[in-house]
Amino acid sequence: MAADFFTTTGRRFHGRCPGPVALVLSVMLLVVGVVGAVAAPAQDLPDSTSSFWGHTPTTADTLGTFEGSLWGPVPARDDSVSARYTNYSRPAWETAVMVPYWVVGIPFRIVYLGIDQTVIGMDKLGLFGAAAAHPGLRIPTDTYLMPVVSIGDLEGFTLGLQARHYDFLGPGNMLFLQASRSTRKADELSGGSLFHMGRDWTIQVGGGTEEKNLTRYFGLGPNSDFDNLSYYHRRVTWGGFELDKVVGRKVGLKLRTYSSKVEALEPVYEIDQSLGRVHGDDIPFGYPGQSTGWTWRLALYRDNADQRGRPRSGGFQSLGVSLFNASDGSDLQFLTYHANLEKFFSLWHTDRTLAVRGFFNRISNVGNADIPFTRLVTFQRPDELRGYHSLRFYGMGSLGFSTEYRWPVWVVRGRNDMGVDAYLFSDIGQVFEKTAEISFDNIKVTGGAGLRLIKSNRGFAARFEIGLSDEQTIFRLKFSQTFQYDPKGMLYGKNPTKVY
Amino acid sequence: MARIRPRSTRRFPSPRPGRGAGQDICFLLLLVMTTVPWSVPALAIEPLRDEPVVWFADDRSPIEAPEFQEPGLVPYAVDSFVGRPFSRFWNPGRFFRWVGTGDRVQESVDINTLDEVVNSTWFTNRIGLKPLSEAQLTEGAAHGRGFAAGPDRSAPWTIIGAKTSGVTPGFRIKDATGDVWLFKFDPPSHPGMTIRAGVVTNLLFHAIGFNVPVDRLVMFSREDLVVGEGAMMRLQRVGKVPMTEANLDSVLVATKSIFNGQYHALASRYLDGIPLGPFDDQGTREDDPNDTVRHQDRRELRALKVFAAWVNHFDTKMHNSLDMYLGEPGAGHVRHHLIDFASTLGAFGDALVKRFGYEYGFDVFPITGRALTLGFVEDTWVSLERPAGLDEVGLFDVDTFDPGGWKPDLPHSGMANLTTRDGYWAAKVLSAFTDEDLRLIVRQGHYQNPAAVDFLVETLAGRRDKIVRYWFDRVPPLDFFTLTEKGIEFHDLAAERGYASVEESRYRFRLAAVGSNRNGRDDGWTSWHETPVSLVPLFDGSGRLADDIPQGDADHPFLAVEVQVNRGSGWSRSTVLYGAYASGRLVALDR
Repeated sequence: MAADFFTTTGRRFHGRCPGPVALVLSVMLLVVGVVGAVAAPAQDLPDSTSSFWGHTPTTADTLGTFEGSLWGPVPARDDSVSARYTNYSRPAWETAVMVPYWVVGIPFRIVYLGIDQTVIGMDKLGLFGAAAAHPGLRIPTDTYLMPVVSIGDLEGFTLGLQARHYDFLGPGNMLFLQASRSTRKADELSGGSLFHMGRDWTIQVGGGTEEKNLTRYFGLGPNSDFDNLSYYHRRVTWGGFELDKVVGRKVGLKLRTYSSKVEALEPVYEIDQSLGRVHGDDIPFGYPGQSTGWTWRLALYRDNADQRGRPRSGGFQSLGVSLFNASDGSDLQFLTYHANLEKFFSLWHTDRTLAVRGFFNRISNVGNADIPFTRLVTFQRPDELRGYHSLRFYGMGSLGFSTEYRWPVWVVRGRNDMGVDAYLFSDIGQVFEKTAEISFDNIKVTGGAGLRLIKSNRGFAARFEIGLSDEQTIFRLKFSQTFQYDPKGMLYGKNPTKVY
Repeated sequence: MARIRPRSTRRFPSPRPGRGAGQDICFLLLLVMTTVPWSVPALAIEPLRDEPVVWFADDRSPIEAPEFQEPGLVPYAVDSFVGRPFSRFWNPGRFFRWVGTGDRVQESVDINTLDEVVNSTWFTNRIGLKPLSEAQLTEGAAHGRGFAAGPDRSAPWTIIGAKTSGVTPGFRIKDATGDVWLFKFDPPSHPGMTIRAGVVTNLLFHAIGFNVPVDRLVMFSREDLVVGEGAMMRLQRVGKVPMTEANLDSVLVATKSIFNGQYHALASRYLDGIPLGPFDDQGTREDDPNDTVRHQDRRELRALKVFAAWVNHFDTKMHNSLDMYLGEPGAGHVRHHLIDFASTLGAFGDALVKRFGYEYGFDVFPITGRALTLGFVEDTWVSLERPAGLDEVGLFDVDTFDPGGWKPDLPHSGMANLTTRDGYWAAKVLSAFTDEDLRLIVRQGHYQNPAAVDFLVETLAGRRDKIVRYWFDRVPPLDFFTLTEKGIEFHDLAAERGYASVEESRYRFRLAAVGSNRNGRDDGWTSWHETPVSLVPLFDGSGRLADDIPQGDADHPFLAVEVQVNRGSGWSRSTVLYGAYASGRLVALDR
């Protein structure tokens, strides 16, 4: 019978058949189905044509468990009113249209099967058991793992791992380790720890090494030519600590000191475009070479933003000054001044926010030696012009202004929970060698859009954005943000030479 | 015992494959794309048979007890959010069927020829088929079983286990009769909210027809509890520790579920039988030979979308269900239950979430829409607010409720297959709840503020009305045809239940003698007869078929009665009833 055939084959075929086999079988099925349908016998008809209409149904038909039913009496459960239900058959036309779906879907199914089985395996290991306590994958030592993933045109594909161990040597403390490796020798090994000392004091200890085999250099000043792109190998090693003291409501002081060694070397890749070859007549001071010294930085900050995930009021302000003293025998000594002002404004509707930010950095040479170009100010996180690469401009100072319009696109359980916000942004700014270079003619304007992954009101998790400028289009995947840049930099193994 | 396929299984003419498989497939696709969408509704359906209407599924055959199995929440969520929706979205069969019929799948399987769900180990027709007594409504699964008052109170309850992890604390207690009950409390931030909602929705779902545990609201004092010997307590980040009277005190205080000096809790009686784990909303349970219908094709699980929408039961993940093996090992069968209704009526844990019921936890289309509209369009549900002054009520309203757009938190394979007829059936069941029925049930939540009862009754009634109007607009609610001495009487549910004016409703019908394939004779249908009453007169004064009624013959043994309704905006779609001349049975109903 066609019905039986369809029932059986319909179940066998449901999304499990290998492509070529499915193709052959489905054609066979189609043929048999058509034949079966055509050849199906006529339906049995009642023997009697005498009419019972005009009589109410007999009690044998009606007495049952549903006295008072809207359908009239419903019989009691017995074989005459019971049936074993089976799945319906898939009609031949549907089988026919499903064949391409099955065939094309094979690679997707294989991939998904892998994902599915991986998730099931991880679940059986209990790795999702405490996911709510902290972000990341919990491993038996009560440590949480997070992947490090980034894609850059020079760094290539970077993959690494972050490990966070909470309550390290005491409640509220933390140990952080990160290691990442890229496809083009842009590797990082860093770590840090945070310790609470009483209610108002914390100390961060951190260190690490970071190298980028292909670091860009276009020239000094605001008008360096994009066509003069060159590369050098930059390697930074650092170690130090930071004391944080709460001095008032939402106000704190930071004292940071660290030793750093910055090297500028010949690149291994793109030798034809090495800094030495491209800028042969105008090689910046410090290339090739290295600079080693201690930096002391004192900063005052005020953070009255209402949260770090989806802030809609308050802001973040900081003022800082740092002193660099060479420890490599040179007379290099310089001061760096830094100011940062951020503010969040709630807009129309729910959680539509305008974030604005201005920053200013200035180096003042107080020693008797030139400052190597590797110690100059450039646009690095968080002081970015996001339509340009981070090392597009070098100078003795920088200033910039950013605006971000944010709106929620995925809200899991409210603004205090994880989700995704979209944003449009605009960054304008410039570097300068001397203050007189600050002018509208030298200002660079960039813009773009992105998505912010918010892990909870505890903070921000990642951003993916597209930055546009007159020179480039840049895609970024970052685990840090321009606004509310995480002040626990030493803990998280952040290269301190990037922050002024 | 009959073995049946659903009556609505349609057969479609299929082109013959030719020489090459590739050409054939292309040809078939082309043909299907051009013809199927238009031909699907007109094609033949299951033949009529002069047999008793099936009202029961034969799914209680003795089987060996299946193994307990419970997939993890994360793998299930990944499958529900990614694998299954992706598979449905790209399924061409669903697309073509949607173009042709408006529904993405075939009709449900576990229905009889009168378009009703049959009684089974999944579902028992209750209020949908006949009014329930006050006791049936208010006692729910406890009715007739002696549990209506909750755990036995002839002796203090012995705590045999406790947990403090998660949002809400809870105990397991054993009463004097040996029954084990799970006591659940509210999250401290919302005392009185989830436990009352859990009790009310449990009763509503029982009245609808689902198998549910006995959930009662209990009030007790500290003296009613004693810590049992060996009772353990699970603490977050610590694990299990022995439970003492002292830490029982601290847990009780932390619940904040204290009203007029008494603790309030939801007491859920452990289900009878051997627990087998939850049932999936897709596929069948391989180790249960009685589980022969894919769950996504069971009408009661498809219609769960409508029922859940009514009470905003967004948390319909598989882990809120439980299969139980009933009977002696080897001689029992599996019964399927829905459990845990605490996240309903706008309640949820310690943080109320406006999105619940309006979007999936991860919903691609709204997310894309919000991204593309740059935040200039606000979601409807953002305006949802709790009723002022009613601390025991969560985010639950009528104004923002969209009966067609409601969604659970996790996509549900059964709900994704909801057809128009499934939706109509569910709305028909809901329309059977009167406001008084709702009030009786809501009172079982023992809300401390009488205004909360009024609000919930009004809101449930308002949401019910929205649902019913939505589906009755899509399927004419002409139902419950019965043969009487006057002829065939039917119910216009919209007029009877207050969704349409009786005075403005007119009906028309026509008749034909048809064969088992539903085709009539050459003389075809009679002309239309209009009538202001829901009756198709058939008989003359002597009780025989009137002369102008088509007479059956050997090839046309069934009388077809096609009925339409007009409420001022034209005639509705048809509802066609089939009766057998030979037996007088009403054998099938087509919508």
